[in-house]
Amino acid sequence: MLARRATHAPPALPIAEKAIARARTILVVDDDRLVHAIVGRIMAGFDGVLLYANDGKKALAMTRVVRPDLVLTDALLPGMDGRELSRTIKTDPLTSHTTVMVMTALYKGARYKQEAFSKFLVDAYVDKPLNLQTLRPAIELALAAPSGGGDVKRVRSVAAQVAL
Amino acid sequence: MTVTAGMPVLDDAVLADLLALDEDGTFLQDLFTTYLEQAESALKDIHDAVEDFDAGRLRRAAHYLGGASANIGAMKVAAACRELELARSGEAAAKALTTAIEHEAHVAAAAIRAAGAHLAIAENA
Repeated sequence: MLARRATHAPPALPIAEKAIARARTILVVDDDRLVHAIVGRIMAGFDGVLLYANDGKKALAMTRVVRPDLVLTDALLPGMDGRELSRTIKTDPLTSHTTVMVMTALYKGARYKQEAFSKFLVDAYVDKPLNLQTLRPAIELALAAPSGGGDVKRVRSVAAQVAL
Repeated sequence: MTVTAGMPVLDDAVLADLLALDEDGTFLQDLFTTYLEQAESALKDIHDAVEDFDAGRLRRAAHYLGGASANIGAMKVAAACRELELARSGEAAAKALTTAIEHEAHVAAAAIRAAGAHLAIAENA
C-alpha cells in the first residue's frame, strides 16, 4: 500500500525549483519610469518578484519566458498596445494563466472597460493617475484569484470594489 | 489656458500620498529627478512634433507628459496635456496648446525644484 502511494506521488522537485515555483511574479509594464518606481515602492515587502518592461513587445517576450502571475500594464504603450498585449497573453495557452491588469488614463468610459473585458480579455482594470492607497490591495486580490477560469469575474468585482 | 485655472501647480494630496511611501527620504527626491528628466525630453518631443506637423507624435508625447505629470501631482501640466491630447483642431490651436503646456511645465519644474530643495533641507535638519 505504502509502496503504491510512493509510485503515484509526483516527482520531487529540487528545493531551488520549488522556491522559484512558489515565488509570485509581477511584471510591471509602462513607458513612464515613475510608474515603475511608484509600483515598486507600493509593493515594498512583497513576498515575490517584481519585473519591469517599458514597451509591449518586450513585455510579451518576458511574459513568454518568465510566465508571471500578474502583468500590470499601461493601456497606451509604444510597440504594442497594453490591451493588445492582454489579448495576446490570454489567447496563448502558454501564458493564458497570467492575470492581466490594465492601468489607463485614456480608456476610462464604461464602454471601453466592457470592451477591455470582452475583447481584450483583461482581468482587472484600474484608472490612472494611480490610487496609491488602493493599488496594492487590488494587486493582491488579482494575484489571489486564479485567472482564466470561473474566478475571473470575482477578480473584476473585487477590483471594482477596491477601486471604490 | 482656462482648463488649468484654479488648479494647484503641485497637488498636495498627491505629494502627501507619495511622501507616505518615502521611508528613506530619497524616494520622492528620486521621483522628482526622474520627472524633471522626463518632462525635459517630452517637451523636446512635443516641440519637434509641432515643427514637423506630426499630429500622432504630438498626441503621444502629450499623453506621456500628461501621465507622468499626474503621477507627480503637476496637475496644470497634466490638464494642459490632456487638452492637447484630445484636441482635434488645427495647427494654430495645437501650437497655442503647446505653448500653454510649455508654460505650465516650466512653472511646475520650478515648483518641483523648490519642493525638492525643501525636502533636502528637512532631511538634513
